[in-house]
Amino acid sequence: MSRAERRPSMAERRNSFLSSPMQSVGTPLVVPHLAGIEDPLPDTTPEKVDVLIAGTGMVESVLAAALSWQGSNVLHIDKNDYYGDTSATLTVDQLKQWVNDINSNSSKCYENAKLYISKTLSQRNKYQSRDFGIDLSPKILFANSDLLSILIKSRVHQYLEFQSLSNFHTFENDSFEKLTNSKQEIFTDQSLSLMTKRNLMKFIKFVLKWEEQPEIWKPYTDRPIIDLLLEKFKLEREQIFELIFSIGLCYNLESKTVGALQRIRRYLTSFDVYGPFPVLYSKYGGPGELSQGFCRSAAVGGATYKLNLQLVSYNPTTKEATFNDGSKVKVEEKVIMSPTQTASDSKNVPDQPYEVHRLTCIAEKSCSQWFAEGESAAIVVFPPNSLKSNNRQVVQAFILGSGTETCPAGTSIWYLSTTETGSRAELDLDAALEALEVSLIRETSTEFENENGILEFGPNGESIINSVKLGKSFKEYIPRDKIQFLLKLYYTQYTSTPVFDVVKDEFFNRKHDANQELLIPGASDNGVIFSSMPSAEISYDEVVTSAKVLYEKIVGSDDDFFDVDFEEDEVPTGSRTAPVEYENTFEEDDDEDIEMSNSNVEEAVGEMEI
Amino acid sequence: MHGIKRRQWTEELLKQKKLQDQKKISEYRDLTKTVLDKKRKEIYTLETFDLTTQVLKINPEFNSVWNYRRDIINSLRDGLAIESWEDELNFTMAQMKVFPKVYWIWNHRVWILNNYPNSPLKIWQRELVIASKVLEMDARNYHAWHYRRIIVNEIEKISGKSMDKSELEYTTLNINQNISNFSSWHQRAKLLPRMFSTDEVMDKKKFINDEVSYITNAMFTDAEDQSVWLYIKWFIKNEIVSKTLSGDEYQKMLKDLKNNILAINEDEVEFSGVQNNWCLKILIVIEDIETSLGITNTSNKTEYIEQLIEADPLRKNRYMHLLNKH
Amino acid sequence: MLQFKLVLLGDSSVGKSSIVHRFVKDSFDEFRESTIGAAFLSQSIKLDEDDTVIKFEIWDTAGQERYKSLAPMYYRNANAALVVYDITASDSLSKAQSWVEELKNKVADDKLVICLVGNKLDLCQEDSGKRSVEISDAKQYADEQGLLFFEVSAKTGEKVNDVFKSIGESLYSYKKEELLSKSEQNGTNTHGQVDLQLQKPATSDPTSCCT
Repeated sequence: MSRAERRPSMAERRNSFLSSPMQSVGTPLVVPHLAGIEDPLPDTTPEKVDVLIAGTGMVESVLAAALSWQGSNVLHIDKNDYYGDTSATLTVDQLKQWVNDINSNSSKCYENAKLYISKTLSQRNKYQSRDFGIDLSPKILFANSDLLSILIKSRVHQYLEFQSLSNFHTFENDSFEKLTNSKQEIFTDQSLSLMTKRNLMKFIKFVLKWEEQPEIWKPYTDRPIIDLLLEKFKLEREQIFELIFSIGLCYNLESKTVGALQRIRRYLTSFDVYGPFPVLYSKYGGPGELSQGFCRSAAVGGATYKLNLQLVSYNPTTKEATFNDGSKVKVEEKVIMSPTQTASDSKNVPDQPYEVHRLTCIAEKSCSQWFAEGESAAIVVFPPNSLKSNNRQVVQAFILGSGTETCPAGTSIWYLSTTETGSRAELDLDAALEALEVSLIRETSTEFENENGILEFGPNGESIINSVKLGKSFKEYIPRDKIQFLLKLYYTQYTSTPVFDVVKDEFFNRKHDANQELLIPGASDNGVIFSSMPSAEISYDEVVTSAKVLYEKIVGSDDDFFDVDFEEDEVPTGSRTAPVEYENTFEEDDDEDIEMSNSNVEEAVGEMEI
Repeated sequence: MHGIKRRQWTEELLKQKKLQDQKKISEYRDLTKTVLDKKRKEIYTLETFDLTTQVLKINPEFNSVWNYRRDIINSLRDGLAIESWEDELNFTMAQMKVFPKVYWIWNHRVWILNNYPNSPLKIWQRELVIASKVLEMDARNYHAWHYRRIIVNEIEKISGKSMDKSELEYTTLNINQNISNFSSWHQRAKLLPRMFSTDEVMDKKKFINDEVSYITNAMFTDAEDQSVWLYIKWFIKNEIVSKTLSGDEYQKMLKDLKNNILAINEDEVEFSGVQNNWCLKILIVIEDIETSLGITNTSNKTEYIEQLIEADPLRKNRYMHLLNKH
Repeated sequence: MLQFKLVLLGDSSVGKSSIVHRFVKDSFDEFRESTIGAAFLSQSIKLDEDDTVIKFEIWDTAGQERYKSLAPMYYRNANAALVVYDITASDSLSKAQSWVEELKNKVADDKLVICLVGNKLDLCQEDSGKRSVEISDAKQYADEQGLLFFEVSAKTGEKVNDVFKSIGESLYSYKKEELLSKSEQNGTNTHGQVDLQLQKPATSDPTSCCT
C-alpha cells in the first residue's frame, strides 16, 4: 500500500493545520500546536473503528500509539480496570486480585501463582497497598535502543521520569563481583593481570565493530560464544562470565556467538550515551508506566480508551465485535488481542511453549549497598552453576529501592527470573533468593562496619576503592539475622517467544485471515490476530519489533511507523548552565611522529625523537 | 537525531528573519566604527568601556578591542572598586562559556588576575579550582591546560612553595580517568625531572619502579594509544631514570620492559597477524639505549626496522634513514 | 520560574479543552511558533507578587475520562486541577463533584490546588434562562471543600486568566511555605535522575568508554 492510498494521519486531517506543503511523499508529518485538545470528542461509543486492540500491555500500547498517529481510528480496551495487562504495575491489592484470577481461570499465559503476604503488610498500619508498584514483567531500558528512540520521537518520554542504573553484579564463588567494563576501570583495577587487561580491551574494541571483522568470529558462528572468548581472546572464566551473563545478559553457556556479540555490544554502546551507565528504568513502575504513556499518546492521537471491557466474540464475516457489556462495534480492519484478554470459547490462542519463572519479593531492607551512589536499582546475575541448586540456566535479579517510588523507604523489591523449566526453576529461584539474602545480611551486619580491605593503594600511593565491594571478605560469616519479607510471589509465565529472540513475522501468519478455511466452528476469536506475551528478556528490546510486525499486518508496511515529527519544544530553560564546550586544540592527529615536545606548550620536555 | 529543529518557515517568517539579520549586521558595523573611532581618540570612560563590552560580546576575536578595554581599565584603575574586577572576571567567564575556543578571552583573564588589586593568593587559588573544573569537562583542552600552568606558577611564586607533588597527583587522576589524556602524560613528563632535581622525591628508586609498573599497566591496557607510547619513549631515555637506577638496575628495567613489549607484540601477531608498530618503534629505542650502554648482544634493530617498513610502507624512507644511521 | 503540573477534569463537552485553549492561545506569539507537540500544553503567567513567573504544564484528558479510563500517570504529581462543569447543564455540577472525589482519592497530596470552574457564562449572559446551576450552590460547595471557584466563558475569554492567576497564587504561597520549611525535608533525592530531553546524548561516539 503506498502512502497516497492510506488514510490521512491525524496531522493531515486536522483542519487547523495551516501550512499545506504536506503532500510531498516522505516528509515527516508535523503535528501542530494544540494536538489532541481542539476538537471536543463525541460522547458516544464509536459505531465503527478501523482497529480494535484488546489488552494494554507494552506491545499493544506502542501499537495503538503508532496506529493513532498514522491516522487509524483505534478502539483500545482492557478487561481489567487498570492499564498494562501483561506489563502492568500493580498495587498489593491489585496483585492479590491478579493471583486469584490466575488461579481460578486456566489460561495459556500464567500458571501456578503463589502469593505470601506478611502480617506487617496485611495489617495496613505501616504500609498501604498503594505504597507499592509491583511489575508483572519488569524491564530495563538500554540507553541505545529502538524503544528509547521512539519514546523521544513520540514525546512519550515527557510523561515519564527515568533513572540511571549502573551497577551490574555477577555472582561468583559465593560473592558478588561488580562489573569491570570501562577502560578506566580496567586500567585502575588492581585485581586483573596485565595480559587479562590487554585481552579484555582487545575484546571490547572488537565487539564494538564485530561485523566488520568476520575473520575473527566467522569460525565461531555456530559455536557458543564462550569458545570465541576462550580460544581467540584468551579471556579467563571470571571475565567471560561477566561478559556473557552480566554485560550480555545471556541465559546459558550455550548462547551462540552472533547473538551474544549483539547483546554484549548493546550494553557497551549504551554506556555513556546519557552518562556513565548503560541502562535506565522508569520511576513509579516499569512497563506499566510506559504502557500508560503510550496509551496517553494514542489517546492524544485520537484513540478511544475503555477499561473494564472485554471482547466476548468477534465475527470475522460481519466484522462485528461484541463486548461483555452488550455493546458492539464494527471493526473495519483488524482485531488485535493479547492472549490474556480472551473470553471463553477462544480456540485460536497460539501455543505458548516457553516458560519464564518469576519470584518477586518485597524485603524490609533498603538494599542501598547494592546500588551505585545516588541510584536506586541494580542488576544481579547468577551465572550457570553458581548456585547451590546447580542451576543450568541463569537467574537474573533486578533490585529496586525506594528511590524508584515503587516501594516505601526502608524496603526494596527483588524481581528474580529464570528460563529454567518445570520444578527445577523454583529451586533455582529459591537458591538465588537465599544467596541474595545471605549476602545482604553479611553486608549490613554492624560487626563488619569497619572492615579493612575496602581501600587499596595504587602504585603511586593514590587510593583506589576496591572494586570488589561486596561479600568476598565476609564469606565465612554466618548470618544471625533474618530479612523480613513483606511479600513473596511465585508464578510461571508462558510465552511464544523463545529467549534470545524476538517475535517472528510468521507467528502472526498462522490463522488470522478471515477468508480462509481456518475458522474454527464455535470459536469466539476467529479472525483475531494475537499479540505475543512478553518473553523472558529483561530489556525492552522485543517490544518495538513486535509492535512493528503487527503494525505492518494492519497498515501494509512499517515505513511510517511513528513517522511523526512533533514541532520542537521551546528550548528548556532552567537552572542548568549550558555545557562548556572546549575545542580540542591539542590535535592528536594520526601522525605517529608527533613528539611530546612539539606542542604549543612553551616548556619543552627534552628530546623525544626516534 | 532528535533535537533537530524542524520549523515550518512561512514566507512571512523568512522575510522577517532576513530583515532582522540585516538590521543586526548594520548595527554591528556602526558599533565597531564608533568603538575604533573612540579608541583612536583615546577616550577612556565607563561609557566607552560599555561599548567594548557590546562589541566583544558579539566578536570576542577582536583583539584590538580587548587592548582598548585594558587601556580603559588602566586609565580608570584608581576609581575602580574590587567589585569591578570581579565583574570583569565574571564577564570573561561568561564569554568563555559561549566562545570556548577564543584565546583572547583566556589572555584577558590572566591580565585581570595579574592586575587585580594586590593580586592576592586566594584569587589565584580560586582560579585553579575553576581551571580544574574546565578541564574536568574537557580534559584535553589545550587553552585550559596552558592556563592552569600559568596559575600554578603564579601560586608557587606567591606562596614560595612547589606544587609539583599535587600536580603529579592531578595528572595521575586524569590519566586514571582517561588513559589517552595526552596533556596529562605531557605534564607528567615536565614534572618528574623538576621533582627529581629539587629533591622533592623521597625514595627515588621506588618512585621509578612504581612509574615503570604504571606505564606497563598502561601499555597492556591500551597498546594502541600513542600518548602512552610517547611517554614511555620519553621516560626510558630520560636521565631521571638512568641516573637514579644503578647500571644493572637500569639494564634490568629495560630488559623487563622489552620482554613485556615483545609479549604484547607477539600477542598482536597471533591475534591479528600484524605487528604493533608502536611496539617495534619502542623496541628500537630500547635497542639504541642498550647499544649506547655497550650491551652489544644480539641486536634485533635491523629486523624491527624491516618489519616496520613492511607494516608501514608510507614511511619507508624515514625508517631506511634510521637503518642507515647505524 | 516555577513549574507546576495542572490536570483537567470534568465530563466531556463541558468545555475543558476550550478553557485551556483560550488561556494558551490568547498569548500566543505568532513569530515564535515553539510548540509542545503531543505531550502537553504549557503556558506561563507572571504574578504580581515578587514578579514570580509560573509555568503551567497542562495535561488534557485526551478523552480518557469518558469511560473513567484515566491512568494513574495522569494524576501523578499533579500540583493543581481544574474541575470544569457546564453552568447550563443541570447535572453537571454533581458530576464535577464526583470528579473532585475521584481526584482526592487519587492524589494524596493535601497541597493539591483544586479550582472548580463553571463554563459557558456567555450563554447565560445572552439568555439568563439558560442557567441551570446556581452560582450560590457551586460557591457553597467550593467553600465547603476548600476549592477555588470561578464562572468563566471560554468563548469570550471572560475570567479565564483569573482562574490561572488565582491557581498560580495559591501554588506560589504553598511553594513559599515549602521553601521556608526546607530544612525539615531531607532534600528529595534527584540523583540518578536522567532527563532525556536536557541530557542529550553525552557523546556521539558510542565507543568512548572503552577506546
